[in-house]
Amino acid sequence: MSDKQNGKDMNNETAASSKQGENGAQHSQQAEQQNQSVGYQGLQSNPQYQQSGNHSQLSDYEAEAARNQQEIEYIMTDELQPRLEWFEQQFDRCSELVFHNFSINAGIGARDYNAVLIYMNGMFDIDQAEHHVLRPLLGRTFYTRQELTQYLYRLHQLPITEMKWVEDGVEARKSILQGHGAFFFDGDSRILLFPFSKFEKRGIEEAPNETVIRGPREAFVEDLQTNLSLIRRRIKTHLLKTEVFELGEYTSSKVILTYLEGVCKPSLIHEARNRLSYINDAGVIAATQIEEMLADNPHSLFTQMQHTERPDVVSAAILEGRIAILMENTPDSMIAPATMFMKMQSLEDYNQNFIATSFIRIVRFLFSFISIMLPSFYIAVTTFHAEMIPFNLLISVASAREIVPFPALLEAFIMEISFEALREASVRIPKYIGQTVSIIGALIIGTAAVQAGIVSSAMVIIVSVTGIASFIIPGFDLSLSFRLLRFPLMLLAGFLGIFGIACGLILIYTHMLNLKSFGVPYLSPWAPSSYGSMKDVLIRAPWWKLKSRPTFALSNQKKRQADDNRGWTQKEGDQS
Amino acid sequence: MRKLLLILLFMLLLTGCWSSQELNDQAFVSVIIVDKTEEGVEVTLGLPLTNNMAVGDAGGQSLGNQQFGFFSRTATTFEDALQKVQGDLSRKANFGQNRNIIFGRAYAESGISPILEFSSNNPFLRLNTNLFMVDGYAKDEVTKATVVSERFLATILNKYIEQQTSMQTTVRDLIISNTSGGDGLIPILKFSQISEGAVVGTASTVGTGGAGIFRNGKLIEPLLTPEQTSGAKSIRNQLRQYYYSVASPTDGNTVGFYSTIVNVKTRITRKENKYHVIVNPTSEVLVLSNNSNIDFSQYEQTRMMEKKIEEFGDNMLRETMSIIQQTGADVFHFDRYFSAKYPREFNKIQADWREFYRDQLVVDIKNVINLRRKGSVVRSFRNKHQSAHEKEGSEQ
Repeated sequence: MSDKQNGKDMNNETAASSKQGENGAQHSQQAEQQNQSVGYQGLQSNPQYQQSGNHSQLSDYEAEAARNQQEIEYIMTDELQPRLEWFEQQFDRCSELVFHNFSINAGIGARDYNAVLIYMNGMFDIDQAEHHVLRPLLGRTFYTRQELTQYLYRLHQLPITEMKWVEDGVEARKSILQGHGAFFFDGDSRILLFPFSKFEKRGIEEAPNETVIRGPREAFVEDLQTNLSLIRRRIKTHLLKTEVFELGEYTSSKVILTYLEGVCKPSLIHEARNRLSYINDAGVIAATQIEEMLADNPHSLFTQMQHTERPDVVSAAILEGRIAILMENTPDSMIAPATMFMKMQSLEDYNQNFIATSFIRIVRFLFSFISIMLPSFYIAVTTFHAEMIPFNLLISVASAREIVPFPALLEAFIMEISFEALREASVRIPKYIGQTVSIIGALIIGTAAVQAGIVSSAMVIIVSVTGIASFIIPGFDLSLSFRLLRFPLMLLAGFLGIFGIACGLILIYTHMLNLKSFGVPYLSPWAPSSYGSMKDVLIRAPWWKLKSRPTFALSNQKKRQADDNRGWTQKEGDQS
Repeated sequence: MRKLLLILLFMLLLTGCWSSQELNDQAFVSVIIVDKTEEGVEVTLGLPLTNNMAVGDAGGQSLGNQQFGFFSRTATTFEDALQKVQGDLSRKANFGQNRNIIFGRAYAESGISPILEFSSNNPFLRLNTNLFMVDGYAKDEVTKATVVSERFLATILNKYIEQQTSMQTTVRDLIISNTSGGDGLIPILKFSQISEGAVVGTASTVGTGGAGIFRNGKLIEPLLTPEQTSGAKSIRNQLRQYYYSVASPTDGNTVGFYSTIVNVKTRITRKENKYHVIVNPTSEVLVLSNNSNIDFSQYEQTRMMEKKIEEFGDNMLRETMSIIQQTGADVFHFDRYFSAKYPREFNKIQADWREFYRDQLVVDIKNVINLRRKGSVVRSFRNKHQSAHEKEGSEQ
């Protein structure tokens, strides 16, 4: 209270001082004191405003800003009124906030206890509160204050299961902002918090970007609790730990670190916790903000964490001994550590026969190589190394290129850039004209350009094959990296031929060798060779052969399955 | 940041964007024809005219435009002629795709060593360029021929080499040995006329037949016939397919065969003061048609047939070898075997190797024939019919 009075005095002072002078110096002084923006100051120094009377509007604004920026301390007290006023001041001009004042019956003759329930309209389940908080409280009489206190705090006789109380108003304020309700009454300094948050959220839908033919189709949503429940349903052990971090000064976003204790290396968990604790951003909204701060090499083109929006992928990763980070309001999860080969694996692989899957994986690797190399190879061969290609192919290519007025490098660049532009545009096109644009794209870029003599048909084929090849990589961020790397390689091929491509590939490969994802090398198990883990890289060994976990799991948990998962085959032999 | 900029600036010096050559600024020579005229060496470059090939036209004749062009010039030396031809071309001649050189008879007789020297010395002409010759004026014959079975003449020649239809002699084969450098057999391209030839009824088309013997880079008489060329091919392990017929040892009727050389063992030994080169080509033979009463199901008859075929092959090979040896041209480079096994003796006779080869060296050729497949039936259908009759007769 005294502080509030002091605050008022201060305000009076500033108002008085503003009334006193219209000289710019004093105003600018005040501006400096109050950290006004430059624009505001400019407005201030406008002579028109200065002349408009001795009580200028601006000084009122300044005073108000000054008032609002003062952090008024919360005083813990038994009384209701000061606390209520503090909350009202904190939530001044927040229109959704509801202060529900009521009084609890104290019996005949005694003064009723004043109580208040504070909640945020739209995020609070009012029905629940009315049934489970207000009704029991208002339905009976509490003859003494101790009876009420005991009812609420000692005996927990309110018909709700999850409630907690705090002494500090700042924590209560935080809870209110998360959709909880705060309740306090005259006579006790504690504030009860009810977790009846209810807000509209998206239901669980199919994963838009990671579709499979055979397998579950659930995807994460923005609500953190739902996401966690999706994972919990798949890993039903108490060893699945979920640690909460709140990041962001203004956003207070909840970030959850999930791992399987006993399988995940403790050093990894420690490292993740360490890195998360360093994040001190003002507002954390997107998961990529966290990712860039957690990554070992943020400057690299290759992301070092794996993204997915499917709970089954996350569960599989957790079972392997990795950690997963989920964030509120993000339907994505990040998995670390991630190697390049994990991003080349698709969920489809594990739902199909292992022979077919191995073949598809090999095709995937081949085409990812094509997506980065094919245009450069074409440019290098046609510009520098025409002796390498067979004669008939050379004649076909040369005759196709007769009509093109550009050199090979320029032609390739034009085609590739148009393709990228088309791809980017198609993301933003409304659904209804999407079909038309794709047809136009195909016609214009494909047929008409060739017939007009701007590009050669061989180039169109190469660009299309490259485009298709770049879509074949399951991890979208990895395919994006390869797409971007195509351009420097094309430049190198145009300057130095195959020697340039070789230099470029060596540089890229060296860079990838140096990348680490939470301490795990980016190209393992290929780069630091680990033959045991290679079973899941190029081919997919059948499940009964995938006996051990990858190298980054805890060493004493290497075995994933028992040795005789298929022991019944032997028994059959014995019987016969 | 500044370091990065500096590095990038310096890297600009490394770029080779000024050494890139556009595909369409180059003329890819696919066949070189070298002739000798009164004025000197006449060089003809054959190259595909890609500007006449329409886009989307997968190789057919487009509106009668010429798809292959020959550019020819005469000068005193090969290089001067090349310079003159380049002066005619609107694009820079690129020999990287060239695999064939055709010599005319006149030039062959005057010596092809300049071309061999050119190929071996610089990287423009490959060492494994195939050599052909034409018994006549090469430029006229080649340019007037119509190319029917393939898209370009060069493709036909490449396919001949690939299928081992004609003998393959590369520049390297001629210069591989110092002592017998310039000795070799170069296959002859025959240009057949309307009445007889590869594609009957059209203008002259290209075909294979025979070979020319070169000694020290010069063509010498006689020219080998196609049969003798096949013999020479079998010594060089290039006879992939050969159809022939041999009289059967039982009744003298012909039996048709198809054979493939699978292996040739060449070694040199010394017997009774004479050096023998022993050549053992191994063939696998299969029976194509059986017009005699020989019964291949019986081992002795098969063995007799094999011996007969061996005799046949030996005769042909020995005849070929003797013709070649008489000329003194060591086309199979036996001096390499000699120098490897008997270096001291070789050093003594090195200076007169060709004479030694002609007079003193004995070449023993012994064929090894394996009759692999005797056909679907082991007896001629006539014989089967006959024996069935006999059986009927005996039963009755």
